[in-house]
Amino acid sequence: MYPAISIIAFSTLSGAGFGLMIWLGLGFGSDEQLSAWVSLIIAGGLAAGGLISSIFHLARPDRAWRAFSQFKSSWLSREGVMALATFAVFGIYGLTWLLTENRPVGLGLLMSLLAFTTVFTTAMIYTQLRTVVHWHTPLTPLVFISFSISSGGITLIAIQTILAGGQLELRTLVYGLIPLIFAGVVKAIWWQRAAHTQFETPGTATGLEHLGKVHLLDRPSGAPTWLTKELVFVVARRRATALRRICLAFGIVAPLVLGLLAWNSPSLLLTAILVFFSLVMHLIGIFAERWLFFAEAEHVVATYY
Amino acid sequence: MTSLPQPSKKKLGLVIDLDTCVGCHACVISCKEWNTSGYGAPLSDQNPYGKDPSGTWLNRVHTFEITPNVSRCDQPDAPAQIVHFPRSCLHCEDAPCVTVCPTGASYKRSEDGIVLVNEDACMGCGLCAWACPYGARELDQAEGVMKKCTLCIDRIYNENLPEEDRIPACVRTCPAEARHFGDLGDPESSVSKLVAERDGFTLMPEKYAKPVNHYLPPRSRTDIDGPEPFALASLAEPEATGFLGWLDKALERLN
Repeated sequence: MYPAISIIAFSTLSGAGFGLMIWLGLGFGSDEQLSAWVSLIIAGGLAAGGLISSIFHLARPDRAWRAFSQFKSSWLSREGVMALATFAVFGIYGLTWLLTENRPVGLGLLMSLLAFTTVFTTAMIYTQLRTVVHWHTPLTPLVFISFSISSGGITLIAIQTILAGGQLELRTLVYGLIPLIFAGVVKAIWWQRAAHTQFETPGTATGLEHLGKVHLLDRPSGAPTWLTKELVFVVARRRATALRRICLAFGIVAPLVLGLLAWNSPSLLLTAILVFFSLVMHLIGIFAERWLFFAEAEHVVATYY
Repeated sequence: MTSLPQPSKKKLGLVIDLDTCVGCHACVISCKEWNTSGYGAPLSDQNPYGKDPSGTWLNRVHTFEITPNVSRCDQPDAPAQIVHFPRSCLHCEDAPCVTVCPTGASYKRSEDGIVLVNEDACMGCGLCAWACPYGARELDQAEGVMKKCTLCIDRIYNENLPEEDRIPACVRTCPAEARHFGDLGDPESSVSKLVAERDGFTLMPEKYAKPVNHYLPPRSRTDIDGPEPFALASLAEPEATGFLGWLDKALERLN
């Protein structure tokens, strides 16, 4: 599958934004006004930035509003509706927090649930496709959700630590360390499954297997088409192993190491810097992971080519 | 709504005979010619006379080579078989392209099962093309909307055309008569009978899309009765005539 930057940015950024909303809604993070302003702006900004990025993937963005109509049957439509609902509750929750200096618990839990569901529906857009066997597994929503929670958690740690002038609190490990390791393990299992998936062959795809070994003699067109560029993308597959290492090194190992260094750092300034870079590394890692998610995925139509 | 309708009694579709298709691509050209000026936006081409020409087509023909597993007389060097394989929308009963559509642009007609795109509502997200196991949908690069086979809906019901033309353009044009159009929901129709007689099959039933279009299998090379293969080298030896011919025969008698 062609790894379009607009879609990769969409699921990475909105994943982190909705992940942060999940943590905030559960009552994590400092209650102070400054912290509230910063966390809410970053959560809303990341989620909205991701959603706006996804619009650039459309050939007719002027008709994007129509995507809210088919929630009964379409996961993409459900994703749009859930994102809108999450934003509505997020807006009310944020305003209440900022104006009353109180965090409404019930509304917060609702916001967490909606943000969680939005990430799930995003993942289901890919999971539902029987045509891409790499994606068609319950592990895919688990990967999306765990990376969303880990990136949201690390964003919250970065906000808290920087606002506290470099004071890294022990309890922040709950939303940093554990989700990070969990996400790494889930993705490793996902890759393990992907390595053992059964693909169609030209024989099974044409239904001519009983006649012998089927292989393509002549393509339908001499030059690449939209279809082959979109579905038969094969550029990165040779480099997949190297990219997976980058993804794990940046996405999981680097944030862990930087986090531990920050914990033992001699100066508060250095702690704040290290925590910030562990967030940057984690996001780069998820970008690489999402890029591979598309580039490695083999669409069944590729067996005809 | 992009929910699928109740399965219709009438299931219009194609039956494609892989045994007789000669791979001339006439159906591809005829399809483009009719549909670029028919239903919806034209089928655009990008850079048609340039280095990397590409464009929107609703029907494409692949050519496969099949090396027999067990050859005639178990010889490992049995000749390979060529199969031309036209690929277009199969108008599936459980069309996955329809249910994934977020805008309601993709739909399946309840009266005859034809799968269509309402081009005024399509936002060009491309998800339906991802969901289709058969590569039947292409995003038009000029119009930014999804294009697909309409089963020539503007021909088959068109009373302004002579009756023999009220079939899809690809079927009408096929010089080998490898393409057949009809109601696959009616067991008495000519296409249904053809499928029954010739062991017609659908593509990738394991993707659960329940295609309406059927393919008729090519005969196995080993089933075709033909002359026993003979060494080509003997053809290369010229037959001697005249004095050399007499000498040749005389020498053969002495042998």
